[in-house]
Amino acid sequence: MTVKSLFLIMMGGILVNNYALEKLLGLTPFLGYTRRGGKAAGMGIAITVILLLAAAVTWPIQTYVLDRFALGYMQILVFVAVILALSYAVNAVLKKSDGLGLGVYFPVIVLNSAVLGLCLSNIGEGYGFVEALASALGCGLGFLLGMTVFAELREKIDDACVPKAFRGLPITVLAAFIFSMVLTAFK
Amino acid sequence: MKNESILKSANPITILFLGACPAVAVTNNVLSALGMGIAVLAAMLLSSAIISAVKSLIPQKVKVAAYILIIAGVVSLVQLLMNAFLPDIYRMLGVYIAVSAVDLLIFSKAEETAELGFKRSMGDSLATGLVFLLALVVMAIFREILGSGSFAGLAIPFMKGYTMSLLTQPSGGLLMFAILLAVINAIRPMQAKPETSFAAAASGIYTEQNGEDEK
Repeated sequence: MTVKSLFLIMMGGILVNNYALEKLLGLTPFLGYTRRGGKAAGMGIAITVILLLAAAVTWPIQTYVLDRFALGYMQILVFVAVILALSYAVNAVLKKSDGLGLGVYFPVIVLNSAVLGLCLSNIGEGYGFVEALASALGCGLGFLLGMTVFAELREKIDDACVPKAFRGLPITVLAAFIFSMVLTAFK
Repeated sequence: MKNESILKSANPITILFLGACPAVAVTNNVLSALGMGIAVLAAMLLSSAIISAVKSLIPQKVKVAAYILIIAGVVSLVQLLMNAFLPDIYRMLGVYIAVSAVDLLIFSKAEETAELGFKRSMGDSLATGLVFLLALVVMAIFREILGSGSFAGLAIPFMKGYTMSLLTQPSGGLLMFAILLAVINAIRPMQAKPETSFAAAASGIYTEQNGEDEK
């Protein structure tokens, strides 16, 4: 495990295996929350933070509890519970400090297939602890990059004249298709 | 009258939007699409049944957490059953079957279950699950025949050399998804109705529908 391999894992998460556009996890909030610039960046940052926390907590649980006591079949339930508890904890801490909490970001974090998917694939790939953190950071930054760029893209779509059948969601998915093809070039 | 209301609640665009992740990810093969659709349908029916049985025991404050944990348990069950009886399809679906534990479509049905009665919620879940299954299979048929020149794993002889490998990629899935949504949109436009549920907040569907008003 060298710095180079960590960097590769991270860049892979950002560009090659972008969670929203290549692995298609967390696609729904990606499409739903990129309407106007402001929220997209905040959402990306919130997801990055929770991804790092979740990866840091689920990896030891898998290695020292589930694997040791052969409880692999409890994996989904335990990981979902951990992510849920983390989201509530972060929400409570933020509420104490600034009185607002996670607000609109809370449901997105709790019901986000990217967070669960990353924790599961960290285990599936056999990553060590530091590698798991690197891939979480890459995944989060990939979300942040994707969401901010895509939000800008959608502002252009709003001003364009779109055929009636494609108005709303279809044209958004079509734009995501083109964006996803651009990322395919990094493979 | 009752049937009509069930069909109305099963708006295909809303369903596909909430289930966008599996809808695009697993539809490069008819078999995996069928497996995913059935898994989601089973998980939805089972979690709706459990939630309508225990809903009076769940305090309002921890409603969301309780629903998510119930769904996660049901999905674990479905995953283990699939691993035991359909190992090939299970391997094809990979991580996507596990992440249905936080699937917005299943969660939104669970949330509605608490408000509807047992019978209506079961009918509603069944209708939603079948619409989702149908949409997945339709997408998979087009993607598999045009993308890899086969149907459910069996090669079609005259398609050889005329395939578009783009359609088997994730980006091709997005293209097919967009086309499917546009076709549905042309036949039956989505009615904007304000949603206040947790699932709607998690998906951002509210901002999607009422984007015009935001300006």
